[in-house]
Amino acid sequence: MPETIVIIYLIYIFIALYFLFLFTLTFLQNKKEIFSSPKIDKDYSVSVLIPAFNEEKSIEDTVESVLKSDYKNLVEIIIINDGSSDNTLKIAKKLEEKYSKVKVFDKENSGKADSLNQALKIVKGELIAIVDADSFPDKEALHSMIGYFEDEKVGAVTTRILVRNKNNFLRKMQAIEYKVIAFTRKILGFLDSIYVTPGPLALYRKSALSEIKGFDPKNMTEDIEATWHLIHDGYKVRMSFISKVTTVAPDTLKKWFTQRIRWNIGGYQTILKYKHCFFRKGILGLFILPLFSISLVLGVFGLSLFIYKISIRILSSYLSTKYSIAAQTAVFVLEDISFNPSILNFLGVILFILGLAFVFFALRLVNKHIKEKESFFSVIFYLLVYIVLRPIVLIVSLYKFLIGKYSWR
Amino acid sequence: MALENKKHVFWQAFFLTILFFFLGIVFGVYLEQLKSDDANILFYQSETSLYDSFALSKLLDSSLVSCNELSDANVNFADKIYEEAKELERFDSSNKLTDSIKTIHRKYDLLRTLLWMNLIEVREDCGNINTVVYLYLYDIEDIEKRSKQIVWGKILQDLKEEKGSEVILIPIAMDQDIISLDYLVKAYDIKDFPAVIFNEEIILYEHETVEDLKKYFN
Repeated sequence: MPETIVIIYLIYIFIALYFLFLFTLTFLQNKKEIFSSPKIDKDYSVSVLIPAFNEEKSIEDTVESVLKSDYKNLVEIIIINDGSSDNTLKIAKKLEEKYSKVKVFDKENSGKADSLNQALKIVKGELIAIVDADSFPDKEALHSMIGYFEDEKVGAVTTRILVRNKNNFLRKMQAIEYKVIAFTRKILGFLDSIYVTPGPLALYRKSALSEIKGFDPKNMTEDIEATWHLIHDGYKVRMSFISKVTTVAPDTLKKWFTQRIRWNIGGYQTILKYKHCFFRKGILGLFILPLFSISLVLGVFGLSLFIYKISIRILSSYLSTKYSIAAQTAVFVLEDISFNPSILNFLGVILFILGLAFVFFALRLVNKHIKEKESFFSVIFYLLVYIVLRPIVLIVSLYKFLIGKYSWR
Repeated sequence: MALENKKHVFWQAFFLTILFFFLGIVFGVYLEQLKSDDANILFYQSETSLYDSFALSKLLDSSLVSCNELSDANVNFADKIYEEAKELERFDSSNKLTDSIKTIHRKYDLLRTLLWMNLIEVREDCGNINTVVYLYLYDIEDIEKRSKQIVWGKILQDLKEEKGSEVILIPIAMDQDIISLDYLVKAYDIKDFPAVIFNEEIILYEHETVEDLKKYFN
């Protein structure tokens, strides 16, 4: 009988292989539809909401990029100033004066979800686009997303989110991550399993948002919660892969860490809120919830196990060195560094190669229309180092979540 | 993609994973089996050598064999199974799915116990043999003891390299359910492991330098 650690390792390999096969098969069965978007028959009116808190650096460009949209029935762009303490309001007012479609909704600071909920009461459009104030949709973005609403069961549509200004290594890593996420999200779309319509650009059917009573102000990731709520209530969520929105990603490790902590805590809150759906309620309970929960559990457990094993090894090396010095014998001998690969090592290498192939394929596909290319070194670093940071964030956010120490900013 | 197809793809991926995983495990077990087959062949050769060594001991009474010849034969045999033990350690570290190497390890430990018993008898008749029996634990969780064992392994390897055929080094795992070994250990009043026994006279539990260990030999 293999040791417990071997069994755990095999379980990890099995789960990783399963998702790799699931994504590959789903892609192969739907590859013709990846770059297509449904035809628009109805002339939907669209309101754009731009919630902003201290976004003086980017708000103008965001509004300008929305105004460049090639979708004609864009009825209004509402900038929601969420009690900014910088020049956001001043810039927003100038834009209001300059463009007839731009309106400013000024309010005291109450968070993004509440700001959106307040604005939802005054919007005119049948569809509501939410654009983060540091994000910049392509001019075709809205147009390519709207066709999905021809299906009455579609409640929300998302698009490819890519990193803007990849001027440092951390942003380059996030750029790879966002592209891989974009690809997997599109694949999940074919399985009715898109679990988030992220803030940089999300398009909602107003009636669907009203039905779920808007966004949950208590949730740290109102976009995840709203998406799950829509799926819970029988709506579908789709993704347009041909359009894109670029967004400003954190440029320092500290900002990145804070952002990821918030995302994860939001994830925990959402899991807890919908825990009653486990293995019930269609795709939400049968796939999205287990997928989300398994990835959290595996991440936390895997990292804990890794830390435990490394600690044991360090302690053992320390003691061996101490005893070796006392006994005047070699601290290291050739046998210490000799490597005898086992079948587990082979399976690990195969999995890594398959993962690498998956990432390269995803990048090639996402880069197809944007003429970008990532270096081989960056991708290897992404797979070997950047991804390993995720479980650390998971553990810290779990700790913060359990002790209740978290806030939106 | 229709709902039915979606269900299919979940199952298709599942069965594909089972197939791939199963093939991986079967291949892994096959590889480990190949290694254990190699180890088994080595074991059978060593087993034969041990019987030969026993036979030589019997001939000692009839004066057909001298003490020196008997000593040389035992040294050669001990060196052979010492090298095989190191090879077995390497097999063992890459054996993850099956217990096949563990079983062979146990057989080797029995073989080494028999060698030790034989050497005790030979020393009574000839007296000019230096033996170092290293008793350690095969399955060990205690980090401190495991580290101690690692260092004992290095010290004894250094000693063997320095003294060469003057010393017969016999490492034996204590926790392999070998009843005869348990009795031997009881007879020498060994209470803790790892322990190193020099010529059945001196028992060490704590590390010493190679220079200090040399003093225990005849």
